[in-house]
Amino acid sequence: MKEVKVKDASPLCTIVPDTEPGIQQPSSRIQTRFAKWPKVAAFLESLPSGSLILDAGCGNGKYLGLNSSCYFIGCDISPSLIKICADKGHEVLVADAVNLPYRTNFCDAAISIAVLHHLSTENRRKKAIEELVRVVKKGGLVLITIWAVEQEDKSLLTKWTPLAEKYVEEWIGPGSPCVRGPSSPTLESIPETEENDLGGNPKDSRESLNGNMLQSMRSTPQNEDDSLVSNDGRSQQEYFVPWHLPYHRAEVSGASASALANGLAKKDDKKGAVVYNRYYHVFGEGELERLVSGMDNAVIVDKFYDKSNWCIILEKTLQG
Amino acid sequence: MRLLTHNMLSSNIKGVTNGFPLRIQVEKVVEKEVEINHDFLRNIFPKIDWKALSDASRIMGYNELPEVPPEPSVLESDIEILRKFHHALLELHLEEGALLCPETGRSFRLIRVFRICFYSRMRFEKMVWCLIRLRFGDYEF
Repeated sequence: MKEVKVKDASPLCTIVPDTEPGIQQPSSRIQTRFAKWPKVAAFLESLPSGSLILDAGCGNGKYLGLNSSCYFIGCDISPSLIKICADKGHEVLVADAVNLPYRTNFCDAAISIAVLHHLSTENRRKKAIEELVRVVKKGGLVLITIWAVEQEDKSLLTKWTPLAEKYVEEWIGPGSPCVRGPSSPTLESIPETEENDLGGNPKDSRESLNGNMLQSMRSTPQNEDDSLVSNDGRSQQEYFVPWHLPYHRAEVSGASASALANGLAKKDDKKGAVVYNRYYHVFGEGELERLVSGMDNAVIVDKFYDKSNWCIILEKTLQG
Repeated sequence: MRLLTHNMLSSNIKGVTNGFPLRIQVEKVVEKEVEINHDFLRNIFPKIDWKALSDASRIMGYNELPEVPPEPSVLESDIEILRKFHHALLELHLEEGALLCPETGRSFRLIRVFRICFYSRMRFEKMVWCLIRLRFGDYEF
């Protein structure tokens, strides 16, 4: 056991600057990941000094340490993103939002920023919310934000692939995996990573995709916004949203070759990038409230729409 | 990984009824000084499982923490105990080693800086591959 004394003059929870100067961040997606959302920042700043805060689905850690008087712990499904956080000195680990490895009632507050919309079944989304409530103390607050069906920039939707159509073409038609062999590639929700780090149990994804097929075929409430309503008049909520990894970064990481071979990513020569499709279940108005309505240990203390996201703040009312 | 974090972790393996505390296997400990914050320590004290902290700090090589938790009022006045609490909680870092589920004995590796990987069995092999790449320094980024 080797002991080394290191002087660290930084206060309790300040982010240690990234000391690797060679890292470039050319992707606009990376830039988005570093923009801090004012509403989330305000929520974190409002928490009492000395609070213990969990960021479940912390990504590259942009909110970790935001309130320097608090202690932050983070987790994410993506090892690559957790490495980024760890290199900055944060207390982080790789974990699944539906099964958090923390004690019940341990933290003062928890945040889940743009995470739940990546979970492909209602059950998993509900479980993730239950986990967030489980880990906060009685009286603790949980902030959840997710992408809304009602997007402010409607032109974005033209770049998204509605899942129902994809199902018809690839999953129900002659080429459907029901008739393919066991070696056919499975669609999995791709975590935020620049490597070919496809998280998710393939079996789980298959079941969840089948669940979604049924879900999107059921009648859903009519959306007032016509651009979000599919041809048969039903509300479209499942999408693949393209995520671009520039070629030079794909080559450096060496991770995209198998994704391309499997058909899980495609090349876009015009943009010079490998394109991954990331699964999103965007939420309609009231859907988040409906998910939490059955919970007997939490109440909604605030709900709002901000920058194309539905947001909710829960307070835990019962211990456990 | 600081012992404050360890004090909050619980094994999430399916079927486990009590996954706390995780047993620590030490390979490398680093001490990093950090400014003491008395208010923070007093606020965090009620959350801490003292026995788990005390045992863990001993495994990490620090034997100063009393086995019996102090009364909260003692923390208000006794700066020395506060300093020891601070040191054990925030200044001892498990840099390499493993955490073991107390019921199943299943091991979760820590590698490089603060990386703990909790994974379902299906993903464990993939995670080991990622960790090995990191360990031998061939991570491209």
